[in-house]
Amino acid sequence: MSPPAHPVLHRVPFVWTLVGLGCLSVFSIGVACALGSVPLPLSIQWKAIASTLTGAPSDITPGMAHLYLHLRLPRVMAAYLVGVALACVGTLFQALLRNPLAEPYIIGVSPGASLGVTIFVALAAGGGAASAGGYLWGRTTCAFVGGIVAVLAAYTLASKGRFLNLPDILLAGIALGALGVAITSYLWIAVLQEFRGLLYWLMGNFGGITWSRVVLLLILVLPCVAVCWRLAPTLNLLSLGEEHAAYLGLNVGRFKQSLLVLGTLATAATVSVCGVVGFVGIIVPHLVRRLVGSNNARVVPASSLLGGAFLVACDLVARTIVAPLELPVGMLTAFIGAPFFLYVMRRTRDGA
Amino acid sequence: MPSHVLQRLMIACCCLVWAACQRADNTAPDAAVQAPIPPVDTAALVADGWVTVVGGDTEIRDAYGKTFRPLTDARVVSVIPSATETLFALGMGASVIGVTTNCNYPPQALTVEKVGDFNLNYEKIISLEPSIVVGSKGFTDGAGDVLAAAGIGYFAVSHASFQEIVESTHALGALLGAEDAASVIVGDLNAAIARARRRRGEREAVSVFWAQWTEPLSTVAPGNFHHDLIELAGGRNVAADMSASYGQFSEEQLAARDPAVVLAPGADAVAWVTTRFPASAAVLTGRVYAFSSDESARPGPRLVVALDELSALLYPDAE
Repeated sequence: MSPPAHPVLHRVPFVWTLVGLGCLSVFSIGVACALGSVPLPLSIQWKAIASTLTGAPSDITPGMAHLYLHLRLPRVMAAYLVGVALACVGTLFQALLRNPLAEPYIIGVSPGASLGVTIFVALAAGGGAASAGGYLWGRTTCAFVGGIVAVLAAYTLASKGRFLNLPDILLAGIALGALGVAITSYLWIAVLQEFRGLLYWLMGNFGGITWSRVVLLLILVLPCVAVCWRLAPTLNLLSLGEEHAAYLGLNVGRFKQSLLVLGTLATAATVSVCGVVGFVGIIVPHLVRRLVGSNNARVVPASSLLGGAFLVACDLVARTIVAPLELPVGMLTAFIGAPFFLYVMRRTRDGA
Repeated sequence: MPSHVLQRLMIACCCLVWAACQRADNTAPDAAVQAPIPPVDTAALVADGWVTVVGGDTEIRDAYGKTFRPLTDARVVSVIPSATETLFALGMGASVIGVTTNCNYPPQALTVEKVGDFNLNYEKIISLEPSIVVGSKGFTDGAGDVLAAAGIGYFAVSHASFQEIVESTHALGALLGAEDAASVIVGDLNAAIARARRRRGEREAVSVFWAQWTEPLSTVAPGNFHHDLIELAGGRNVAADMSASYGQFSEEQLAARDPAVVLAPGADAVAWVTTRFPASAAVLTGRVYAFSSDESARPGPRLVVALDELSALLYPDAE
């Protein structure tokens, strides 16, 4: 993790950087609401909101109002929240594991969560369809359990006595992630006999987003992100080394474990809502370090805001580039993210 | 090098390149305005491409243009359920010595030796010593090379359109000496098409969206025989301009195009469509139907049943 001596924005007060990223978020959401395979100019958006709130008759059709309020708007909001969560958790994991390549997808949390979702879907398919609300939360719970199992397994496998071998946790996560993908694929292909579902859960997708999923994201992601923001300065202690941090009075073990659980929870919520979207947690924090340096007190909030805007933009491309056909958004983030991963890997090695 | 990173990158590259190619000749449609897609011709289907008779010699081509001579006393292995149904409908059931575990129709097929599911057990196939293996273009593409190496002929049918289904049926009939039975099957199909046309009469085609899957919302377009099924039953596929014959369709576009009828693959899917698109014409008029069966999913002789069912759904008031 060797950021440039002078980050691009080192002369800009950090508050203004945050304000700028906030504006970028609002701008991206606004553009993504207006653009799409069906263009929705502001006038139509406004009428849709007004006619729904007041119940007054309006010159736009109920279908158009529904399109904006129940198809477009929740989708954009979900993309933003998922982006916030993944970028924030990526930053968190990189600090906790002191590895610039750590990311929920790479260390196996997302594949574990998607396996949890798949097991839930398989069980629910056997026991009849559950009610929509309980179904979503049950799915999220299973995603969380799957993610926790993956991260615990990686953590245990990489531990030697009381010490955690940091490069090993990445390797263990990659292997466990591949195992999770394999079992997920087996369940979809052989047990559920439905390869289309497999594509959805392995490649990430914002089709089918409802307000109840947005509410779920708000309930689970925002508190996790808030805690991360609050604890971000403490994360810096870990970069001194765990021993040093312990001398300074930090309960390293508990601190790390609780934050890993927190990150897993936020990741599980995203997987339950839209499947596995990889690499957001790598691309965004590294761009942000270029902008504001490596102080986690700055990187965590700035990554969160930029992550939301980034994923909103990716989803906009995914749903417009070959409209009316849609692409899985995880495909786009991988297309950008995988080369970026390799770039970071080489740069880290050269710098070391 | 983490292998699944590379794997993802490769998948992503392929998808993007493919998407870019698809894009080249297909510009984005405006809201609810579709590029004119020529409707499927509802005149009677005539097989005229794959079987030629020159000076008393019959020459049959398969989906890849590979040529065959008629077989006598053939021992046939079918590695695709639709071909199994066609073979039995041709009256060649006694010649079928191997099928897949997915081949569940007609009931006699259940007792035939099994040679795998979608993954074929080539050792088993070869041990049965068939004179020909019937597969499908797109489904069992690798089989031809493997079997050729073992000296076994491989005949590929295809089913991207009703025309191809008719050609395949006719060619299989000519290959196995069952031309008359093939003509009967094609005649039945044409009769069903004519019935559907009579049901519709002079009315404008009903706009239809056929959800093959709900999450992600996926549908069919030209190049997939399900599209032909919609149009031959008297419907107009609102997703006909999609740049892939099967793929994920924009939910927003479905809302904007607002078809009169939505077909969904089961009761759960009908419920999903109903809650997801409550303001749509199909939901408001109660015209979201569960429509999914082996008859409609398999490009075989039972499409006759699917055509009758679908045309009855689209034009319930007609006789």
